[in-house]
Amino acid sequence: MPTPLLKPHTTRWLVLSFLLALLLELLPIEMTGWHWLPNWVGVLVIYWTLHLPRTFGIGLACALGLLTDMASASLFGQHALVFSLLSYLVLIRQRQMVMYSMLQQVMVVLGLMLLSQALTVVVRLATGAAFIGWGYFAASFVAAAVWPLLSHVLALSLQPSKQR
Amino acid sequence: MDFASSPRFFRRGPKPLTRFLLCSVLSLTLLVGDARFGWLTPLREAGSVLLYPLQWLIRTPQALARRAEDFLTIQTDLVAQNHALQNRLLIAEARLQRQTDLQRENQTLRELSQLRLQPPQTSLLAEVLYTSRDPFTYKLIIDKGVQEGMKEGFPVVDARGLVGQVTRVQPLTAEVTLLIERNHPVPVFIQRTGLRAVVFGTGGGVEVRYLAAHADVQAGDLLVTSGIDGIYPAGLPVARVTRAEKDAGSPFVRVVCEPMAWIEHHRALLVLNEKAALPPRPEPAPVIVVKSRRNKSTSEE
Repeated sequence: MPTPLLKPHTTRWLVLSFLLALLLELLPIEMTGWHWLPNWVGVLVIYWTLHLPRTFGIGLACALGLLTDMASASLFGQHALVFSLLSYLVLIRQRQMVMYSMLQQVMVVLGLMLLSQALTVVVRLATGAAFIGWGYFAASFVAAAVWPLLSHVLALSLQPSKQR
Repeated sequence: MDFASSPRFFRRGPKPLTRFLLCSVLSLTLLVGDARFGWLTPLREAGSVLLYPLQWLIRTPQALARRAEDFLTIQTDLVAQNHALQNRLLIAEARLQRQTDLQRENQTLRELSQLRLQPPQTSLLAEVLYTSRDPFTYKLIIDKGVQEGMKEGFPVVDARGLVGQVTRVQPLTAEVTLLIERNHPVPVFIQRTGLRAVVFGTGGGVEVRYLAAHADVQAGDLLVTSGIDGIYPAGLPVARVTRAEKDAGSPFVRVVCEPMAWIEHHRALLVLNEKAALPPRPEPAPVIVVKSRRNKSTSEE
């Protein structure tokens, strides 16, 4: 099947989406009852590594992780570690993953998000926090459920625009 | 077919694995540095200034909505609220009169007994910018920083009791660690009996640890800061005991408490601009060297 040529991308959408995700991270919300919201920056790291592997890679994921750490007042390097792992895992199988059907992609995203959350828990337990219950992992399922919508919306930025 | 190890036609810098290893080593170093040694304060300060425009952006719609809500409040609501507030003011004023009286009396008594005068207490109203999204930490970010004279260690209270303390100060914002943060200790005493104890956060709640099994604790006891740590002024309500269980297998009584302050539902907080000026800690009594050496040698044998 001939795939349509993607338009020469601009980084505008990439920057914009990450800004939005960071804004969501800074949202003033109640402390409890929101753990099911996934880490949007992490989901976006998966998306952009998958679709723009030449532009967005492990180094940028790591830098964004540091920004997220500052925004969420968590330990320095916690998100950086998780995001660079996500980016790496996507990058080594990127050429397979872009050809997957949506269902397969959802399963992969679920696995990746669960892995990233497990890594976060391990890091936090190692640095002396309390375990906060299995409900924490619900965020991964939400992320996987939102993935089709997210990738359809963000794919608009990669479609060739109509000739004017 | 293994794409990852096939020859590459285009230069793309180091391999993904190399880059990943570099990044993970960097972040692990930062993690250990932050968790164990607290190296990264300057970097955090710079980052907080960078993020401030974003914070402002996210807060503006909320502030506008609040203003609109204020504008559209119904008059009857306002009248009812006004009545309630006036009643409360009356009660508070009556109490305050008594308090000023007592304060004066206290001062003269202290002067008489040549005690150190208590410094006047000032406070700073701060608004909560946002709560940390990180579910493992119990922290709030407030909108006062170094510029307003914020310092680490300032106690933070609300109308009902102690909320926590300022633990990290940035130019425009500050981080408040809540008392329910895991292993966050607050020295208290039980108001009913005067028994000293330490309240620890458990990550979401508080409990009193290391209280002997025969200690006199009941459900409903109020725990108040004792002021012996030099951080919290004495007399702030901290928590109320909900359950005290004596377990035959443990030398300590298990005391479950509930924080007094309305910890997770704040918009505005009061930062007490005060640090008790305690005299320096006395040197510990000299250890008798001979005895300890003997002990050491016996233990080595």
